[in-house]
Amino acid sequence: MSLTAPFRILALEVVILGLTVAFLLTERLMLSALWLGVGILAAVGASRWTAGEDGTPWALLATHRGWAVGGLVVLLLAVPLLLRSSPYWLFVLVLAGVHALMAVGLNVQVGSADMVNLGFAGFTAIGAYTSAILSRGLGLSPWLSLWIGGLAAAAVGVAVGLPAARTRGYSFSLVTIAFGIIVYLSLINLPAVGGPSGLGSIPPFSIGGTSLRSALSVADLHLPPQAGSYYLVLGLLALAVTSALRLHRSVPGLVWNALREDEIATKVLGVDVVRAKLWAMGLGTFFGGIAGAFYAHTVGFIAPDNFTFLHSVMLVSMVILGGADNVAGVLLGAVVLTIIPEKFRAFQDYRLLLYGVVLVVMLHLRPQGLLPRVVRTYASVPRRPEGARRPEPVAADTVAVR
Amino acid sequence: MLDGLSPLQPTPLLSAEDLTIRFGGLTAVDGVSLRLEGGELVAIIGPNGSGKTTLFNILNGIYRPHAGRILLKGEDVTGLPADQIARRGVGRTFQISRLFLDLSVLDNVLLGRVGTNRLAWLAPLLRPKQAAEELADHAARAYALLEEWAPDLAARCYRPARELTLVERRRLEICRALASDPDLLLLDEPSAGMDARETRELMEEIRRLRVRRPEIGIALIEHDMSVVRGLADRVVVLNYGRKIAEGTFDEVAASREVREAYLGT
Amino acid sequence: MIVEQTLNALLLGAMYALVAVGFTLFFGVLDLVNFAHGEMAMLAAFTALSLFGLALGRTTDVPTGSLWALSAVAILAVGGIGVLTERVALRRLRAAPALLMLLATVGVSIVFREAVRLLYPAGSNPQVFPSLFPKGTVHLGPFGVPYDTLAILGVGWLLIVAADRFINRTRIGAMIRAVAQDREAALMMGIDLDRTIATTFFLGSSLGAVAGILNGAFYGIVRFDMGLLLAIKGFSAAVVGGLGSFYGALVGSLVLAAVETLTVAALPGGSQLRDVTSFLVVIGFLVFRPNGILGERSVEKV
Repeated sequence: MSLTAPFRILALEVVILGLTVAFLLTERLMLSALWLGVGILAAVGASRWTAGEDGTPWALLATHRGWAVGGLVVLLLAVPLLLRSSPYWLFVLVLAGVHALMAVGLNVQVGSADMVNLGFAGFTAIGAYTSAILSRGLGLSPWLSLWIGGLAAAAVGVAVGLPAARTRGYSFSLVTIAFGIIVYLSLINLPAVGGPSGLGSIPPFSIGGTSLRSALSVADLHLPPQAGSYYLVLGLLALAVTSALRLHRSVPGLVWNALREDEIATKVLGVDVVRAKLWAMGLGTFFGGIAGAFYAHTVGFIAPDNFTFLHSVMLVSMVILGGADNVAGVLLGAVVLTIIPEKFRAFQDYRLLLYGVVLVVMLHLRPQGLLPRVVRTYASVPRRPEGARRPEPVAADTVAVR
Repeated sequence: MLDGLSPLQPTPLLSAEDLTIRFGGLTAVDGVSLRLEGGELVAIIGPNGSGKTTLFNILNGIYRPHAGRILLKGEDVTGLPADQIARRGVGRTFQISRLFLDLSVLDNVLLGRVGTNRLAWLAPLLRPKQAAEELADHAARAYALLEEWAPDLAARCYRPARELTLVERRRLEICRALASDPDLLLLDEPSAGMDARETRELMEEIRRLRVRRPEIGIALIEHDMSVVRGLADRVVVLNYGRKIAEGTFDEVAASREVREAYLGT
Repeated sequence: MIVEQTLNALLLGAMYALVAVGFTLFFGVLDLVNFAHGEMAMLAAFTALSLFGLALGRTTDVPTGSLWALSAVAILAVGGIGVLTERVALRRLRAAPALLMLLATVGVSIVFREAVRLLYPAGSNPQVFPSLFPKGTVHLGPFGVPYDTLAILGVGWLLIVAADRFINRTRIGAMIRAVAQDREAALMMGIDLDRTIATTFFLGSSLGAVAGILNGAFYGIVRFDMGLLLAIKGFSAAVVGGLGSFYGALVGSLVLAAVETLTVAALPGGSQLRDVTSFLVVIGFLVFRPNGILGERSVEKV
């Protein structure tokens, strides 16, 4: 098993990536639908092929995590080369990356702590506008204003969290909805930030004078224009995902999960619940702000219509579709819900309609999302034999449980 | 802080004076005083609706009393929120167990341990290795606690708490309360729903607890008189929110008022 | 001037109240925040327009009586759509966490909105809606009140009283209240849960439908996206007044309408700020008095 396992994992990743690229690049609608169907079948078949004893591939992926992640990284780095012929699709992947960044942040709130933030777009707007204004108006380098945008969003997140954290359940969601709308309305009505027409001429990220928006060449490789942004978003995602995973697997993640289940019980165990919620707000909106700022500098133009209530809803759907509280799932949800609607632009007008239908259908079919929640295990407490299962000494790892 | 106590008496673990709380027109707890020393087990009994759980909620910090004082080891903690009271050494189980059902058995106990510590929110990001080690250490100790008190649960420590039976859930909840190393333990009807054998096991476990941790003070709400008779050093009887009797089990059982309260006249 | 502003506020309040009452119903019975409620208003307006066109061949210069009749049909139709929506999209999620039902209603609202935009001829453009009221003003002492304002105020108030009577004085209303208070107990009493919930949806959607038609008749224009703002405003009004109380819906609507009218009248640049101040008030209530003005203070039993 041990020699073939990495092979299986790599093969699985290559196949999925290949199908995804094919899906993106085909021009004909029928072919796209075909690739999608094949892709789903392949994914199901592949998960059987790599399945461990409990019928899921997660155990295998966990023990050979080095291979899985390494393989994935190499493949992801190669994507711009594969999509050389289509800068548009590379841009869509960049957009997917932005959504993924936002989703990771939102997941801290919605997934881990069950704080359903339906105004997340408002926070990303704060990150975007802050960074845009600082770099455009004050000449700050986008590399710096990016982080300031994130911090601004975090600060506002905590500020909104202060009153909101004391509310229960739906009231919290409503406060966030109202907040999101207030941000939108304020942006539209403030000429200083461009009003309804938004802000343009936002400086791009650049390394040594070369803008990341332009076509780069590394050695003899000529990369398409979006490649720089693509690699940058991958880097930011790596940072975000590492942080999110570390938080999840440690005390904060545990406390947030407890909060989600039973606030009073958590309080009775000595946890300052309000503080816990504020941290969830601040950390989550920090990533949202970074994502918004990144978007601003990558596209060069932002407007209030980029940050509406519908966007907040879309983000929440990504978290739910992918699997709340599962970072990998959330990434998957973001990618899927960005790519598929873009692909079916042939149905240009029906895109939003389709989206609504998909949302309702998903909620009915699989409300727990695509990827399940994981059970935390600890190196210091090895799994015991439970009946027929053989013990697997897993190192500070997570194993999926349905 | 030592008002009214003679200098020779040590500070009691818990000293609740004249606690009163009203909900709308109903006075749920009316001027109840309760004193508990470390190592004592006091049973609180009374007909349904007499305010026992509400009293616990006040002691715990979930409710704020409208009148009265709570002194914990001499410190006035009246009106403090539940998390601060927990951090001062109070553990609690609930009438209907409030476990984290989607989390594993181990995680439930782990939260008991971790909750009363100062939480370092950025530690996993800024010093991940150290945070992971600390967590692993907490986990090991949580596991050790499980092994000590509920070895059958320890064997299934990674199963979700949802899978446990009623009795196992109670046991887990007590373990979770113990994980924070409390000085005062509030147990709310731990034997509810148990049959005779399970109740005897529960009584054994509580006796074992008192032997291994003689400094812990326990307040126990119970309906099962065999448990009360078998475990309690002292019994407090509540009726309609007021304390109507206090003493040993036999003294209280002989009281006319108590019999009237339970049987009605 | 003050009278004029007061009338404005009352009118706006009535509009919001019509939607808020529906929200109150859904929340009281199902603990559901129904984002699709606003779309019921929009659907009613567009259904009415379609009926006007189909039955009468034109949407302007039409005898008022026929308009009223067709509007009534539209209202009933939308009530039915509400029932259907619950049956198809929401019923299976009853046992699921509340968030999922909320999101489902968001999804449904998107579907309705886009369906109208795509299927109604020139759906993306604003549509002219005929006035259902005679022109002219009534003179009450020194003040002149236009007929349509009076009508909307009258209908608004009437509906709220009627809804309250229905819920509190009829048998069906009692069943609805029973389900709202304790679903399991209601089931044990033999109350047909599905039917009661369906009735609730019919009632609530019809109320929203009325709001849509009156809105169209008063402003003369309807748009495919009018539902969203109506929903948010109506919902805010219900929250401010106290979710679960009809008179609360009215009070909340008046409060919000007063805040908005005041903002427009008193603050420079007020017409842009009106929504912002309105939402700030809502946030304030959500934080400091989540049970609203007339709602009960509830204490969670531990």
